[in-house]
Amino acid sequence: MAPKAKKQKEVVQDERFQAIVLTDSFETRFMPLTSEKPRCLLPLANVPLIEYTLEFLANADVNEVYLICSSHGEKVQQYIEKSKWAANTSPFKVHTILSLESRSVGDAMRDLDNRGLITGDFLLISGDVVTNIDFNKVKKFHKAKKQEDKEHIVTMVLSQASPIHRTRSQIDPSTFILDRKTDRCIYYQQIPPVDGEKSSINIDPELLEDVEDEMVVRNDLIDCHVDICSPHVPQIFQENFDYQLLRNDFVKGVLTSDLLKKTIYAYISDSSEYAARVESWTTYDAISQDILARWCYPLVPDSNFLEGNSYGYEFNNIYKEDKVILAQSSKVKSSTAIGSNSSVGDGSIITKSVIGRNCKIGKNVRIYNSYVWDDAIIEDNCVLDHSIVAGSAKISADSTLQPGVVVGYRVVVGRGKVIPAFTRIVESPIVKPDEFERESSFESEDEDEGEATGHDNEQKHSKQIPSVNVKDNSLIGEDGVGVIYFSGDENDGESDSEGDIPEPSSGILYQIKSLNISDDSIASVSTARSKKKSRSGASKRRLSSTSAVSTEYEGGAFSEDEDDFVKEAVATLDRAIENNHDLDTALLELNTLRMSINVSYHEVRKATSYALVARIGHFVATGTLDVKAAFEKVFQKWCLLFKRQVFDDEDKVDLLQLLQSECASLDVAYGGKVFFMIVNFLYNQDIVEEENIYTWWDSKESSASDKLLAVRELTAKLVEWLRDAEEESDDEE
Amino acid sequence: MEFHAVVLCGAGHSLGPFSKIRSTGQTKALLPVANRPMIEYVLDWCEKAFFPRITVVCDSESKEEIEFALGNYKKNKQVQEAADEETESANKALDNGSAYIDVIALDNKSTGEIFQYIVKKEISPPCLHFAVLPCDFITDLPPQVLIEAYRNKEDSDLGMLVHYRNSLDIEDKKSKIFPKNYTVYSDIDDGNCRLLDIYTKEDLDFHKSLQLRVQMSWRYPNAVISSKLLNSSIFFGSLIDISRILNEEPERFSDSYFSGRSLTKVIRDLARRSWRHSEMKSTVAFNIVPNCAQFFRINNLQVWMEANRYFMKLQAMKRGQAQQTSKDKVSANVGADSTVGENTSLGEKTNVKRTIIGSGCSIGKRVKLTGSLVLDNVIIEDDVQLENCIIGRSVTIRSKSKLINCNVESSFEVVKGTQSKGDTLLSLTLEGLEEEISFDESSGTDSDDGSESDFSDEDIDDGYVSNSDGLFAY
Repeated sequence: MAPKAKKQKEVVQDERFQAIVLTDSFETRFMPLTSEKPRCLLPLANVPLIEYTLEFLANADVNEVYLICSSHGEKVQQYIEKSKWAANTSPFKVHTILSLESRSVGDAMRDLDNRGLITGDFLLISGDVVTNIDFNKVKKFHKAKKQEDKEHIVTMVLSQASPIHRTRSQIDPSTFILDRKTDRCIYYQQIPPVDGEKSSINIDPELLEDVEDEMVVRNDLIDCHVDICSPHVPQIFQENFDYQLLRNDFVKGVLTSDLLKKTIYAYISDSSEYAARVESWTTYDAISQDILARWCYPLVPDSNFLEGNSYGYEFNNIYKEDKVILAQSSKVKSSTAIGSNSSVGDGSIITKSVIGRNCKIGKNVRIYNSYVWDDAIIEDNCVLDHSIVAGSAKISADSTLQPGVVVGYRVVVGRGKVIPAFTRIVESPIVKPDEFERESSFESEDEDEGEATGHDNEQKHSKQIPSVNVKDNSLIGEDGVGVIYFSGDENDGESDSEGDIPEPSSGILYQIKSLNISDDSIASVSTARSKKKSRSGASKRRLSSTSAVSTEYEGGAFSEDEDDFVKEAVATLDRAIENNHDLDTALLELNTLRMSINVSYHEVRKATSYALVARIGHFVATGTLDVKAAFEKVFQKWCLLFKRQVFDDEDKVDLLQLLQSECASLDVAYGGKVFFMIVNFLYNQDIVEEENIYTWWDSKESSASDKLLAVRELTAKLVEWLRDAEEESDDEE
Repeated sequence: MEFHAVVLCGAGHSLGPFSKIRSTGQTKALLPVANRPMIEYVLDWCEKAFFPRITVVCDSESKEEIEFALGNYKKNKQVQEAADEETESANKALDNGSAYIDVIALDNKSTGEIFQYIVKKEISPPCLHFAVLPCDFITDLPPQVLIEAYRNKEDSDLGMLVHYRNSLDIEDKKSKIFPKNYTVYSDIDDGNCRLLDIYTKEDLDFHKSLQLRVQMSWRYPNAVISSKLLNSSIFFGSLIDISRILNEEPERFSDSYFSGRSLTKVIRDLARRSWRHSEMKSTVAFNIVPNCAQFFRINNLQVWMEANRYFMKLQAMKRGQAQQTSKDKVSANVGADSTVGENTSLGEKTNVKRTIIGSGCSIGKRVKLTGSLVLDNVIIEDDVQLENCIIGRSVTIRSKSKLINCNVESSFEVVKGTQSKGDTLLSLTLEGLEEEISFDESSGTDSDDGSESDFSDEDIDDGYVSNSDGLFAY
């Protein structure tokens, strides 16, 4: 690590202060609403979430902001381009970076490192943070710690709360073990929720050795993922390509690493300051209420930091925009915000709720603690309790939404329906795999890696078989539009947690809990996460478990990871050929890759033949070498790879078949010639035997298409010759 | 709020070879610190606390000795009180009269069992509250501080355990002197603390990790783990509350439960009640001796030595520079930071620095004693040099010996011209199993002398007397 230390010195304080905003959460907790809009553009108190983050950055004296966009990246980009942040008056320069390939924070950080944008210490923040902390204090703290401790690479901003604080993540609570004196983070561990299983936080005694005196176990901190990172952080992600999560992989990894010896400090913000992250329905609800109750001043609706907003503040935390039409007999009670052009009919009561713009609330409607987004229509006599009605949805007259209901965009709920608690309705089945994949990167990745347990299977069902999302007329009525969105074993989740949760005295908290229970995608995410943790933690175990899991993949349903492998393997081989690695290294790399992604040797052969043949094709096509020279250059050395990839006759036949099809994809002019040379070479090298060649020659696959036939034309002579030779030897006997 | 003080006199396993674990040893409670048996410090402290009744628990072997020592103590007290009366300095002690002290012998009991005894009222209880005290602590912390803390504890708390930080000047690099235990506690409202858990080094070694329970961090989200806190073994408890708890769960708190456990473990189990259960249960409060106070427990040799020096330092400061003039160059020189007991004679040109010499000793000429502890009735002949040594009772050190960092068991005879460094010199035991074995003491201060562990004093002849570093010993 010595060169690194040097580097650190070179990075003298840059005047520019950069902020990296991760607009994607890489989670699925806001499904189904996030299938349409990314999380950071969901409205929180009628303002897109990202605005809160950017507002914070504006106050934090940041000079440059890079928004890393992956899911719905274009939408974020469009939004930013139109917003005030892109204008000349913006306090900082905004750049959007499309990183569509990223599936996790880790990927995003690696992408960041590849792009080489980072010039000094930077602020890493996610696009869903609502906070009013005085960032200059954090910067000071960071600088001071950096002076003391050269190995300091990250300052995490944590804010103090009670363990079951409403804005604290109840989904994956985590404990920080800090040095009491210096606030150095000694250990980090996620723990089961308050009513979860009994387990323990296991700290390696070695980590405790350099603790001077006392340390604290903090389980009362809100971690809103605001970090000041040194430029080493993306590098460390790069070096540890298995790091996915910022906290559970990176922080834990760095802290427990014997080699790295880097330190992470925690800045614990004043309890008078507000910091929270909208990461679940629970926190969405809690933070919305906090904004209405002015806890996060100056982030309140009437500061109108979004252009075109015109909220005014009235007694009892009521916020109204222009042109709100309230019927004489309607009642707007405390903690409510209503957007412009919305109207509320006679006798309706709205309390602790947020109503978007252009909403039409009918007569005698009751809205308690609910969130109605722009352009929604709530007809007469509806009752909404702890629900979310997304944009342009319509709740027809006399309907009731029970707690925890989420009504998606443009859904129409029919007349007189009672939507049972925790139901989530979407307009149309979510089948677009692209979008879904992006949002559900966790699950999909987990499946890739072969951790598909029962739960994930169910997840997969709802994704792959859209018929599950049936239109249920009995639920939303004949005149309704929409289907129920399932994300898994909803009912199980509910019954499991019901009753176990100690009921907090406050009513709203209870409701939050219920919302939380309902949102079983949350649970699935956290289980997926914990699995992930165990996987990345113990690669050994992963290896041993793969054999058991691999049987599940025989069906070929998961061709995706095979593709991944081929891509990776080809890249590996290309590198090897390019840099003239030795054979063993290349083999080792291939093998490691094979085991880590858990594919058969068939895939390895496929990748190898592709890489080698493509290489020849490359040489010939660019005119560097002629066919023969190209073949020799590539195959003299690398052909031996196959030796370690074929084991029985079947494998050898398979290899020939693969090579044939690869050569068939070459230019017709020389494809056959190359193939002939390959077969001949393999035969001479004893990698394949006569019998294998015969079997292959006679197999249907080898003559399945014109192209294949054309390619093997030349080889016919070889086969003939072999057969003759055999007969001759037979004759001699 | 009256307390029944119970002073537990342990065997002193870490004070070998001077404690009762060797046949020549003395009861731990009676080992002297600055020429007073250490239990006297405890009794003094109890007196300041006005405990109406003090019970000293020891094994039957040492009962007599302790009773005798207590008799002495009381006698001295009376004499002193009489003197005090004249000078009108401390009338309170007189008003109150001394506490009723009795001695009980309980053999082969774990401290847990003694605890059970106390709670089950088998040691006659005139008071509602009790205080368990070790026999080896010395502090300048007024007992009222702790009593007040106990009074202010939450009503739900059963008792209060006191921890302290090492305040002596002892370097403890590898945690050899003080056990590295992890104490988990949490600050609760209005300045009180609550004990949550204690993990010993053995627990950690066994599990290869510090296993903090998740339930605990839910209940106490801001718990502090300390590895520097030491257990004072001072525990204040409420008799009624604790016996109620024990009666609630008779299967759990059975006789066998107590017999296998130390007091600390029993208290730890009580403390774990604070977070183990879904509802809050009464538990144990926690107090840390404030940093400004001196507190130490003489539970190993290093602390014993350092405690003696501490008193010498105090004495030196008290006397100041006034007395240091030694008019006579021929006579023995005793520094202001040294004490010499009664009936002890010092030879010519003998120099005593930072050393405590017991009573009835006879010290020869040109003897150099530095930073050592010499117990009673020791004979030291001419030209002996001792540095940082503990010399047991009735030891004879023949002339021209030079001992550095040595511990010499009582009744041992150090032969003429012995040179030794960092050894423990043991005498023949009655069992005859060990024969003048000297083993490496490997104390924290001199860890580099392991090569001399097989050093046998007989092998040395006079020619090596002048070797000070021991390099030529072989």
